[in-house]
Amino acid sequence: MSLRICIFDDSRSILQAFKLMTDDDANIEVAGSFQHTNNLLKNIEKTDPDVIIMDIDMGVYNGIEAVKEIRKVYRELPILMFTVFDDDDNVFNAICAGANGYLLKNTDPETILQSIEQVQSGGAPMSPGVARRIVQKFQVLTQAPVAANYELTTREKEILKCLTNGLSYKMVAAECNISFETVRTHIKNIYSKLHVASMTEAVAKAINERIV
Amino acid sequence: MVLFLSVALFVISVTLFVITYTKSKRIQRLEEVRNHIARDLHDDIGATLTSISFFTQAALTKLKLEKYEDANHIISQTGNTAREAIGNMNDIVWFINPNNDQLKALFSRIEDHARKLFSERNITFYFYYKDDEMNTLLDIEQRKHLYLICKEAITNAAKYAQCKNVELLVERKHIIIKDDGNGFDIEQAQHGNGLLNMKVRAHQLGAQYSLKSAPGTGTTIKLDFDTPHKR
Repeated sequence: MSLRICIFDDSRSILQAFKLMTDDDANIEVAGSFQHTNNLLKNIEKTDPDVIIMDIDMGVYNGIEAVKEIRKVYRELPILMFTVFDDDDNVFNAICAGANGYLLKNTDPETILQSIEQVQSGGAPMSPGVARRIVQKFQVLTQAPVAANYELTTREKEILKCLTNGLSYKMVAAECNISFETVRTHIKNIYSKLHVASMTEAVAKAINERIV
Repeated sequence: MVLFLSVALFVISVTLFVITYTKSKRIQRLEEVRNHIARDLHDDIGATLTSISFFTQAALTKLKLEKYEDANHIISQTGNTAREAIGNMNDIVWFINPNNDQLKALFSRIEDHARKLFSERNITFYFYYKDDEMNTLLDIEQRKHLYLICKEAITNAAKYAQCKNVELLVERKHIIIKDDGNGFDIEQAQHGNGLLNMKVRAHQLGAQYSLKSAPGTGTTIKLDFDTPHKR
């Protein structure tokens, strides 16, 4: 019995490529391929796949939203994300939504076929950079269980981030499109909220406690 | 005097605030556009290169199994896909180029694309426009959406409509693309995401979009810029 996959990707050539690549593969067959996530659940029911392969950015459709929708009904169906995006937001949102694996589109074909089998047999295949990010995120979460809440505003955080990047007041002003005076006011507020008395102290605290 | 000075001061500070605010909004909008283009480029070209990598793998497998005809087919498909990527890349570079900010430049590109596609299929192409209406300036996103809507409509007409004539009419208030082909049942349409993308892009342009088609009556796509809109 070969493993049935269902692919969602707005690129027609990706869908064709999966079909061609699995053509002579006795273990994997394409049960369905869709350029959209319309009638998502119905299409999954109809094609009855063992593994779902899901793109993230599909024009007007979003693969992470699709994963959430699938998880409402199919708690166990393995879902493998397949995308060009490796930014933290996409990776974590996809995993949190219920994806079981996350592969980048630069993965070589053989690894992809192996990953499909892996995810089906209970594994969680990840592209190397992605796995590293998730591990790091996990370490951060365990080290500082609840990031101390100093009630900084978004703007204040942004300015603090600039400071940790070594920017001067003037450069911060230019970067954030605000006046020098405004920067000073913000920084004064940051000092008082963080209970520090110098910029070095503020920057050290920001980095150590992962405020930015 | 004091009153006058304070009023003057107030007016000046409000003006300054508005100027700074508008400027920062504009910078923010530019940044959004830039991010969007970078994302699109990455997603689009990334997907195409991935499929080329898959195609070559598939071709190698076919060769190993001595299925030469299949391998041939896949290799020529690889070429097509690569050329498609070159086309898309050209499009993106073209959208970004500020020299192309006039409606005239946009439609001359669309016309080139249409003539090339239609002449291969013996379809007559009519292009109506008024010269003095072609100086309108468009920003990157507007160029992109308008171009891709027209390209999609033209490609659909060429590939699926089996028509003899296609008309493109550009006026200040609306753009119409019309063919005299088979038409199709809109409910049953299965052209991938094309139709929906046109609608979404029109919405992002702030235009009213309408698609009229039924088996045997041809297809008409109309963009209406008449209704006041906000972008």
